[in-house]
Amino acid sequence: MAVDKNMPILIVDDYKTMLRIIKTLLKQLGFDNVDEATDGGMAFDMASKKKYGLIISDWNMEPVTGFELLKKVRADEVLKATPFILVTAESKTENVIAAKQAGVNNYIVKPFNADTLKTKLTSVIGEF
Amino acid sequence: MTNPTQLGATMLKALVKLREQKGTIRIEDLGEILAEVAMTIPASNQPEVFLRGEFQKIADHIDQAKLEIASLIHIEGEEQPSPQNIGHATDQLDAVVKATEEATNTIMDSADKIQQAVDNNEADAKDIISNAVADIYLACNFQDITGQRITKVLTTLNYIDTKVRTIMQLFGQVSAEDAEKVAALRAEEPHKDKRPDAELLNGPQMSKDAPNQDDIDALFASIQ
Repeated sequence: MAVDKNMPILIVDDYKTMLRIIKTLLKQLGFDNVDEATDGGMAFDMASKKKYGLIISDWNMEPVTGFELLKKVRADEVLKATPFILVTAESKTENVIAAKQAGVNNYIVKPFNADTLKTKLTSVIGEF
Repeated sequence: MTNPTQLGATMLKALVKLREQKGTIRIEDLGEILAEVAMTIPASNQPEVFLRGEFQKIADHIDQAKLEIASLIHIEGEEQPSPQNIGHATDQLDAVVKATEEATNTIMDSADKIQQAVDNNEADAKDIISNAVADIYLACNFQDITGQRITKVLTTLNYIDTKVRTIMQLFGQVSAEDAEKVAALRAEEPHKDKRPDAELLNGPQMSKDAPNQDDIDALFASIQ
């Protein structure tokens, strides 16, 4: 099935500059329908009210981290199948293992480039 | 020869007097008491000279520790934080965060202008792009300023490290029992991260230790 480039995407990061970078890169890839949240709690509230085709989230945020957001999404009957990519500076083995076991679809380590984002998006939502 | 009972009574009397005068007894008060008690010990023989000396030494250590710690913090009455103190270091780091955010926004604004000029094939695209490029170069000034601020912070941290080590020497070696208490103290710290995944929050690794995206991808693929 062709990817709907108009699907809503939720990006989550506590640094506004990072939100701007990801939003700009997504726009360059053709995805214009992007909402922003600055922590996991805010993101979960937004995801509970609107169906997102993808969540791209940082890990280290307060008060709710991206990892806790991932677990909440996967535990929610309505949201559990939502594609989820973590974009984070956390790069230790235990982080990657914990994230995969919690159900993340892909893992991008910061700093990243546009090609990496495109590759990971393709692997999660399909060719576009 | 000094009577231990008299010595104890002298110390107790001094403590009670202090408590009545000030309400609570602080560490610096103990230093004063020990110094006073030291003066009441007659220097009539070797053991008493030694005892007097030791009491005076403890009193001096307490004074010294107080001054070393005071040099690290903002003292009431000071107009500006001293370059050596912790408050100055945090001010510098706040400024670094702000400067890097401003520079980043300027660079991204310039990138947006360039992209727009290209996308819209604007007539004055050449001028727009030239000006945007100039703004980007100017924004990169942040690296010089933030570098200087971080160097100041490093200097302050080294100073603090030296002072803390000096204070620790005044208190003597850390015993195995102390080490256990320190571990317990760290676990109880009020600023301890209470997020459920706090143990997984290590932040970016140093470049020489950090895996790249290919490493992460290989690890990710290997996990069942």
